[in-house]
Amino acid sequence: MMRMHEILIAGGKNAADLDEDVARPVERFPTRIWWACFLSAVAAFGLGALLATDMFQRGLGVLGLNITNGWGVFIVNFVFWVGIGHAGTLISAILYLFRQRWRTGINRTAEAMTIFAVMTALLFPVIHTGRPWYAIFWLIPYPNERSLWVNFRSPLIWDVFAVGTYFTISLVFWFTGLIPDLASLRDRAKHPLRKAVYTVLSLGWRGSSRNWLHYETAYLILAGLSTPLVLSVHSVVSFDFAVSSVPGWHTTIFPPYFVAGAIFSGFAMVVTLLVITREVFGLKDYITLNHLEKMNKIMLATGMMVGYAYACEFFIAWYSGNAIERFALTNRAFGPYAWAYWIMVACNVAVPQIFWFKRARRNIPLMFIVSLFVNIGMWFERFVIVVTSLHRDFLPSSWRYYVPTFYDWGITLGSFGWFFIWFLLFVRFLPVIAMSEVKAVIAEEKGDGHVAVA
Amino acid sequence: MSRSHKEEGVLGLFDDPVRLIEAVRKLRSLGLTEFEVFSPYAIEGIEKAQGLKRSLIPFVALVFAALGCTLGFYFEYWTSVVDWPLNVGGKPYNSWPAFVPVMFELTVLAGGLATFAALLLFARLPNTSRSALDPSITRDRFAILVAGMNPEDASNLLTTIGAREVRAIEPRGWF
Amino acid sequence: MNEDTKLKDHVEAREAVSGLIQHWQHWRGIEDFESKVPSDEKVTEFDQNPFDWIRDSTEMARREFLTIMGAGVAMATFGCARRPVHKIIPYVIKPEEVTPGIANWYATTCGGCSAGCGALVKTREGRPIKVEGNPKHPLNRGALCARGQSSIFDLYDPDRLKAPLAGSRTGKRRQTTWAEADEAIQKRFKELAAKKGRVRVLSGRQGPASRRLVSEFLSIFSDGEHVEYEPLFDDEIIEARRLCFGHPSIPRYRFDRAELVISLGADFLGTWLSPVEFARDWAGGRKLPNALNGPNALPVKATMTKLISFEPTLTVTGSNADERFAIRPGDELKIALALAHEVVASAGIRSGSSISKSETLVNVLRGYTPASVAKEIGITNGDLALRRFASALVRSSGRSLIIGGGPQSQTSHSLALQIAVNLLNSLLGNEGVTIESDAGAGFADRKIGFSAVAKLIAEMNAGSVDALIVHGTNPGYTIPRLFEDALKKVPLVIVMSEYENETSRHADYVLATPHSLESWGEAEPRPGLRSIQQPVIAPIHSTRAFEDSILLWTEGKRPKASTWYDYLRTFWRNDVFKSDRESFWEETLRTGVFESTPAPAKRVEFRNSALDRLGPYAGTGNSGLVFSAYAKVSMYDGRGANNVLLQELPEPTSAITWDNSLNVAPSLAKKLGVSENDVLELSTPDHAAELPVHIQPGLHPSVVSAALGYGRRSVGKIGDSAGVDIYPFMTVKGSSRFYSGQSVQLRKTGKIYRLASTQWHAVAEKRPIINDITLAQYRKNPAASIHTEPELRPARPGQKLPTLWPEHVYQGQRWGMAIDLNSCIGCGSCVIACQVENNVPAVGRELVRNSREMHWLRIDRYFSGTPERPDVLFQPMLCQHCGNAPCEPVCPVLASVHNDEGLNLQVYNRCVGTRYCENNCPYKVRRFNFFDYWKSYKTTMNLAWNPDVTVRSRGVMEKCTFCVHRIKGAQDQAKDKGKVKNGKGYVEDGAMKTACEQTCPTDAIVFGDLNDPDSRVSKLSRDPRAFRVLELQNTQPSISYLTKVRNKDDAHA
Repeated sequence: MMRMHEILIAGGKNAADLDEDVARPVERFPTRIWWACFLSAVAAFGLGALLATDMFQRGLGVLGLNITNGWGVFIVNFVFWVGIGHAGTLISAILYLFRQRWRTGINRTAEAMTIFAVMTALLFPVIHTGRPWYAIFWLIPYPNERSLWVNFRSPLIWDVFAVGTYFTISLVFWFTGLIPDLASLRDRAKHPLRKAVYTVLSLGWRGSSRNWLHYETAYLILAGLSTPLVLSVHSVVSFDFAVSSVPGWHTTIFPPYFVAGAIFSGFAMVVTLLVITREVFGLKDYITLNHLEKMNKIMLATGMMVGYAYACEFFIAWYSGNAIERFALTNRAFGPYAWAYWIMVACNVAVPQIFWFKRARRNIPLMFIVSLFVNIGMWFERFVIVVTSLHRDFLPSSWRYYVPTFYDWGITLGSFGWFFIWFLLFVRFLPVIAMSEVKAVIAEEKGDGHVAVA
Repeated sequence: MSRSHKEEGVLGLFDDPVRLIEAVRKLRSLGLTEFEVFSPYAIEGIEKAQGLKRSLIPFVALVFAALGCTLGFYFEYWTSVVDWPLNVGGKPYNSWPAFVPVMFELTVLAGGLATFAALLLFARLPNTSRSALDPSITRDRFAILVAGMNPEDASNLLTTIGAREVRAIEPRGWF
Repeated sequence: MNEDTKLKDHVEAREAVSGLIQHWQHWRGIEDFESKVPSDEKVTEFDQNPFDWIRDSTEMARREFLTIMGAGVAMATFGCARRPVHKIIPYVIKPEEVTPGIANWYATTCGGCSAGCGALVKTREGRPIKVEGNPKHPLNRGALCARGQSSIFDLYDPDRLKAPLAGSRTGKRRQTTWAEADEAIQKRFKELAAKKGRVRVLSGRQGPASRRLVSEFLSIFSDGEHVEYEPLFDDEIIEARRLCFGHPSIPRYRFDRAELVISLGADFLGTWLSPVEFARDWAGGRKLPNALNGPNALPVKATMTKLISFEPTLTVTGSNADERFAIRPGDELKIALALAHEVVASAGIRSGSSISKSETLVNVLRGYTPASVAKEIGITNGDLALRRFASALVRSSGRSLIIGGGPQSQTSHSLALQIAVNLLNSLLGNEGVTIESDAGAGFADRKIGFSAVAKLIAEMNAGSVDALIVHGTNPGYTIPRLFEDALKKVPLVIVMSEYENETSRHADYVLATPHSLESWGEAEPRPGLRSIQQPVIAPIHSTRAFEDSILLWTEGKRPKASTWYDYLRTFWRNDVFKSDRESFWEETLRTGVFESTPAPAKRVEFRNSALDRLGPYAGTGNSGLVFSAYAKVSMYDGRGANNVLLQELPEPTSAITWDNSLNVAPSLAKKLGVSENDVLELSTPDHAAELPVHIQPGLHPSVVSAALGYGRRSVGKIGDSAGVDIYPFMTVKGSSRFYSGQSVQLRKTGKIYRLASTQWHAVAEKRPIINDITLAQYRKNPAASIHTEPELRPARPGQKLPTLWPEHVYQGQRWGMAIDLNSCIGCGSCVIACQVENNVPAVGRELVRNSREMHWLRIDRYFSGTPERPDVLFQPMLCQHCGNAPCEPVCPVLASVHNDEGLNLQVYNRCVGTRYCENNCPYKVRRFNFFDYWKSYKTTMNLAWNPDVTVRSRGVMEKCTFCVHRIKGAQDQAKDKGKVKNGKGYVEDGAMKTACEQTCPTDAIVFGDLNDPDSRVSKLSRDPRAFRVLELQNTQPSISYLTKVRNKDDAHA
């Protein structure tokens, strides 16, 4: 009990302080830092949007793609962002089922990140098609006068359903979690407009015990549903590759490998964001070193899983005895794109090893840097998978090299802009910490929650 | 005793959950049923003290999840076998293994949305005819609302069971 | 906004332009239609590529449009009779021989080069859309080369001259009218005729009729001469035959009768004399026994024509040789004489030839021992090889054939080489058997070849030429500097050409001539064989045939014929048919060819006097770097430089498009320390040029080679930007010119120029995609070294393989293809045929660099063996129409599906362009429209579209369809004939051919019904040599490839 006290909420804060601290950024005029971040995010998105518009008018030829490399940076970004999305649901759902109280400090931010990440990811499958103005409808099996349907054998259709469902459920889950906190914002609100908005958003929540009863049950079920969902989504994404026949893609290890990678990159991104958020909004007492250390531990673990997957791929390729498969992997590590491969290995396998040391796990600047490295590394993992497998496949006559163009990079930058626009709006207008849940924790730690101890 | 329709009831505010739960127990020992309990966070054990039944949401979720799964497969089968059978890569029209991922996703989707809908339904949300009883409830205080009793008795009762503050509540909508 | 409607508008516009007036509403709305043609402001994606001109090219003028409209209708109305068009008639009154949607075919002669192959032109509603070989033509027998196939694009080239030009030679040109031009020109000619003017006509090789016409014209003047010049033509052959046999001529080479062919530099499969004819004949002797040529044909007894090649650079011929040696240009002579040395020495010579006894011969040959020659030309164990070949030659005396020539081996030794070749053939008794020397039309009376031109140039420089008419040849480009300087000294220069070209820039009058498809003509490919050339469309622009002009200027002198058409008919009546029967003419127009019984090939005797031209053995010449210029299949002598299709046709051996490169051997590249795309300066004492390096296996370490026909200075927006001109390196000695053999220096420039190559990796990496064996191996086991997974090959025919799910059954016909790698020579005519047939766009250099070429059918080229002596393998690669097509399950919108005839369909309207199918295709045959390529086809170019095939919009995937539109057409025809099988017309085997199959000179491609056990394709796919590419993927392709067999002597394989 006392131990938990030290761990989760520092500075002996009580529920009232919590409200104060969490609501402060929402209720006062945004700071300079916020504006700076927001405007640069808008600028980045603007650039991306501009380039994309031009691309729609002229054709995909402005990208670096060619006949051999049908997919490139766009698909890499898609997988990358979907991956980022995984930590949120994992923290909020799986840790919830395991009754990991420490999740309460961070789950709100993580969930928000999930949703925005998925929103970002969803851009790419659409704009990477040759005729997005059709793709946006035709991949959905809506009834039409010509009774044309979609191909349910195609992993891309699985994607539509998987990512779509993932987005919807995460959104519902997130909003459900928000209701009580929105209510408390409502009750604090002075400005009539703000009050009105939060009143509507909180659906008139009063916190009666009956509602809490249903609420808890619903939350539990959503958590239960999200858990297999989060595992399925990246498995399905991995099918895009695993189901195909391309050497280097056609691998059974992909689903677990992708999920591990997703959690890995997701936690990295959460750390990146939290370290900033807690700094900027002074939430050090609620997002404590202990939270971060726990996440670093998970990064260490998932990082090693990913490393194992890398090794395993080589073993299977060798064990299969398939010359073309063997070549694909050798080419990956020592071919024209070896640089990308070794960046990946360095960032994802080597760097996180530092987290074996407690001092490293609890060192804010260090973990920040590591998390950035992991983000980069995981982007390159997808790059390696997509590009190195495609650029040299079955017929040597069609072996080519793929070089992304300014458009590829610009639109990628734009996607980061898009993500951060949403994230910054979130920290500005919604409580970044699940207040009601933390209050329960505070109660426990105060000790007056002996009834409340699970 | 005539029951005033003007008032929603009498509210008693408490400072900590332990007292609250004791109070609830007392009320029930007095055979009182028409009261509601409010708290800033879910207090475990309160529903036992208050004698609330388990939520029905799990059943709703189960039914709809099952529905999503079966309808999902039916739709896939109908489109690719009945309505528009095509030779795709030499695979059979009914390539059911390929249909599984979508079936799964539809299961989760239906289940999840049903759960949320059920929550709103059972918790009677959104309810524009009621607004917050007291701003402090969503912060750090706890409360019991006694209805169907005349205000004086109610307030006396609440003070005796340890309410720090007691006041009658006018029924008030959102705006 | 919506691409498809844009496209629809565009197509409508096109059809309107083409004079396809099926509904009078169309007709009434000409004005509207012009607004319908998509404006090209928005087309900016083609920056820095040869298509830039699309932006400045103006929309078609109304007048021009009417002309074409007229043309279309005139055609429709009068078929192929050539009459002036005065009014246009709406389609409500339909001319009886034209049915909208049904193609009309007209026989004519291909204008691609001077070979004179027969062609059939497919016209739709009066609009020629495709040129195919004429099956009835004895020369090419239905096949056509890449140049012939692509010639349709020249017809519609917007850069063509649209009217006669006049003006000062400083290049300031003004359009003039024919009347104006004629008046001025005739005035000059009258003066010249009066005051004994000296008039010269310089042309390409002409048919007899127009030769006579010219001579009649020249007879007006006291001093007139007609000179014929073809830049890539070996004049030495004629001269040598004059010296050796007293009879100047080009003999007929009978590759079909040879069982052993030794080529000394002559690229007879690609560019030499009559490549299509030769390829057909040669391939005939290469066919291996299979179910098609009778069950009694057993592999054990299999024989094959053997081809041995000595050549400086790697050509199509060399890459198809069973044994090939890289040599320095000029060494051919030594090799020929070394062979002669052995042949004479060996006892096997038939006593008939008196030569072997001649004293001079012995003196000449004495020095040329295989040992010394092999040592000098630097072939390891060359002496053994030469001895081996010599004895082989003796063994097949009278059934062997030695040829030599071509620009790449055209050195100061050329004449001697031809004499040596004649000597060898005579010694071996090949003369009269594999080489038919005609008694008839020799070249005695003709001023042909460079010697004649040299004389002309001398005259011009001496100022003794008053007027020069140039037509059908472009000496300003092919004889740079020399001829241009000389032109300046001629007071009156008239150039008749389809383009403003390097020669016409120095002309006083440039008279626009029609394309060969727009004008009458004839060719005499060989004595007794006359091929007619009839116009299939009225001239699109204001052009006039060379012969018509000549006639006009001759007027008064001989009023007999009013037009060239009448003249030609008269000529044929009197000189060809020798009869007044109309039916002859009609019949000839129908078949396109008239064969009279040629004068019997006369027995020729080798004259020893010719041997004097062969000096005795002289030691090594220069040992330094030697240059060799050669002709590409696509560019030939450069006349096709403005043809997008040809520019983008990859060179078979280097896979390079849009440029010519400086080819160096790998060893030399290492020595120089240069790598691919490094720009080197190539220099001789009198010329220097900068070329990008291409490292080419199979080159002699002291030879660098580059292709002719590039670097056009004035032809059009396509050609002008392509490559470097090699003609200036030509050395002129007296009355002969040599393209090769100059000693050259190389200098690094430090620049880099990225060559646009369509294949970066040239080794098959031992993957199960291609297969070649030697003849001996084949005799032992026809299925030798075919790599397949046992579980993917039924142990016995008809045995079912285990599958996870029941396979789909194909009741009716199931289409498939068999490609015999042993026959494919990689010439690329199928590639172009496919492009023209299926509206496959050319994308330009920049996009080829980005690997976005659109060819539905490409030819993969793989090397094996050593870099010094590579074995080359060509593999036509197109959609395999797999039974288990990997592209199909991954398409989210079902745009890629199978039909019940086993075709893998691509539904353009449905495709959203995820490119997943492309990724998942192991053969990488799918092509993606990164841009709206059709936008680059402007004005007249639009007339070339095939209306049966959708023009694809941006953002969709496309690929080979097995010419599905032809299949459907054939099925409809069958249905009309009542041949129906489960609801569909039943197409008899061979009744329908795909575009690639149709034009293949070696019949390497066979298309048909796999469900019919007796069809050729299913027989071939059961052949022991048959294998499927990447069979281990179990994609179950509908295309079978047949193993390539090399006729090596195994001891030396």
